[in-house]
Amino acid sequence: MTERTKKRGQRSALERRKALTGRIFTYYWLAGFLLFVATPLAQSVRYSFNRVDIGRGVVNFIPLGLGNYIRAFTTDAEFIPLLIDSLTVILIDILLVTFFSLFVAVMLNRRFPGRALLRALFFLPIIITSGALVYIMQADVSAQFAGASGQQGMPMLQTVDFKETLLTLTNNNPAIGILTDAIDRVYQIIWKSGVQILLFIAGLQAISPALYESAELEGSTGWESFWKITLPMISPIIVINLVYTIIDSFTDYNNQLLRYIHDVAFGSMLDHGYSAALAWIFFAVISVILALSVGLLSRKVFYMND
Amino acid sequence: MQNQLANVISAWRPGSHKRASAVKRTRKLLYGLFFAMLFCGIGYVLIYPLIYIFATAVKSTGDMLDTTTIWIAKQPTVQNFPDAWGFMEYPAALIQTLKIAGGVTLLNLIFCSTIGYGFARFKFRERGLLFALVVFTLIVPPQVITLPQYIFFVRFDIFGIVGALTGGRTINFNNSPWPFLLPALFGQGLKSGLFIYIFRQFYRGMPVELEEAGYIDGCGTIRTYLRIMLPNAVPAFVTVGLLSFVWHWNDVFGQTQYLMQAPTLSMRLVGINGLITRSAQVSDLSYLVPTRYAGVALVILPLIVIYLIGQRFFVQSVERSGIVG
Repeated sequence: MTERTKKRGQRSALERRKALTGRIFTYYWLAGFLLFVATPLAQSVRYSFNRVDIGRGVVNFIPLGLGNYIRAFTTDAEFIPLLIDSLTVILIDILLVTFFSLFVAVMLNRRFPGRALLRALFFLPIIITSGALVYIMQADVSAQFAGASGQQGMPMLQTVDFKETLLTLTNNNPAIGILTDAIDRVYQIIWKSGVQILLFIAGLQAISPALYESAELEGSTGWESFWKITLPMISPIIVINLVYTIIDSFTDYNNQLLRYIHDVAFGSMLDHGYSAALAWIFFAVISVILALSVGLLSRKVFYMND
Repeated sequence: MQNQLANVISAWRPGSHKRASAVKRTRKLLYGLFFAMLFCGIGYVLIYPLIYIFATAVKSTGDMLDTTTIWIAKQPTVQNFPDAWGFMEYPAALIQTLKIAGGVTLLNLIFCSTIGYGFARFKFRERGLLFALVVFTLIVPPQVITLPQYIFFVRFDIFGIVGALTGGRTINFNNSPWPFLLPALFGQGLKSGLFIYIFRQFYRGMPVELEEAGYIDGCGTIRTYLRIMLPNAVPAFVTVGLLSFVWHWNDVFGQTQYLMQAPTLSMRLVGINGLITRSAQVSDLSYLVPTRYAGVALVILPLIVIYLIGQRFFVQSVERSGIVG
């Protein structure tokens, strides 16, 4: 991604002027970053080591040292299970969303009648699923309708019976749980994949048709072309999508852990210091996952221009 | 179709000279069938919520209580729409939403594009580091900085300048659109990092010769940017504009922080159950549910209209905007 500037003894006046212009454009952003992101981040680190009392007009800090962090791991009964839940969801999401969106993007990239309509459909989730709507729809699933309508809100894909059959067939193999969880989430996966499909299609369009033509002339089948051309060419986007999926799932309004962190700070507890500590633990764990997965993948990534 | 099928079957008879091409045709037919089935299924899942929203929104109390009514209301009513309109105080909430979504989108288009251009076309030593910071802003969970940011905006005072001017008092930006507009002014709004990224990738993909021609003809940097780069970047602008507008239209988390006294549409929607039970004194689900979905329909209808108008352009623009690294 970075282009190395050539090291020369003397740089031309034009180069210096261009560097100056570039700095003006981007240092403007940096000023905003320091003001609106870096400062609050630093303050939030400070909060996490204190008990924060917000009185009328003043903020009082009572130093706790590592107290908030220790509390999260030892006394809090809710945090650890929520953290594990949320991480499992993120990990499953990464795998399923990436595979599903790549599959759909490859399919949508073919020419067939009705393609325009289908594409419009697949981008629909980007337009209408965020925040409020998803929240309402999901609340409906768990809502018990007292009326005699017998309607159960949005009937999601039910795999309860299927799950039990599989469990008895395999002597309670724990892997079955993961499988049926994945099937249960098909609905959400499809709805979460909008942006990723979009990015993949953009990537597929950028692959030169000449590559496929020459491969076909050499007698390559579609299957071989996919593994030898499509996949390497699209590998940078797989990384981008991975990052996006991880970000998307922890900024999701429906993430239970985030709700909990938010409730600790603004709900009945009003404990801002503890909330900041929880947020930092979560952030640290996510960063590790992000770094690990990007690190592992980027060795395999192929850049055409390098 | 039937004819084709008959042809295919007859060609399969042993000894048929057409057999080789028949294999091909059968394979094509089966592929077609498979994809048709697959996409019908997925398409159904995608369109299902929309159908569900509008089907429920027109149901009357009688329909909700009738166990034989599942999709199509027997006594459809449009009364739910004006009811939901009233409960949500739609016009006021719409103005709030437009202020935020419209204002921020405009700022994003102006500033993210300029910042992205700076990252794309000008070489300087610390550029890689700065761009890494842009990506970093994308992965900071908003929850981490919510409270410090909140305090910052409620007692707004940059370096004591405001306090010095007003005699020790600070500005309270609570319940105003400024907590959204100010960060966007510096490319720090909701997902602004992604927009900077999109613009940077787009500008990087444009031929350098275009600008060089501008420079040779005596244009300055800004003239070159405005006259040459901007007109060619329309697809990126459409993409970013649409995404930014929609994401702010639907955002709940940020808006509940600052706008409790001036609710937006998405906030009204999340709290619609409480609004109905409080103002109409009804907690009967057979009334609550259809009215709630009428509210959902009212909120997403403008987005659907925008999408239907802009979709073709949007889909194409995404393909050409070169979001890809």
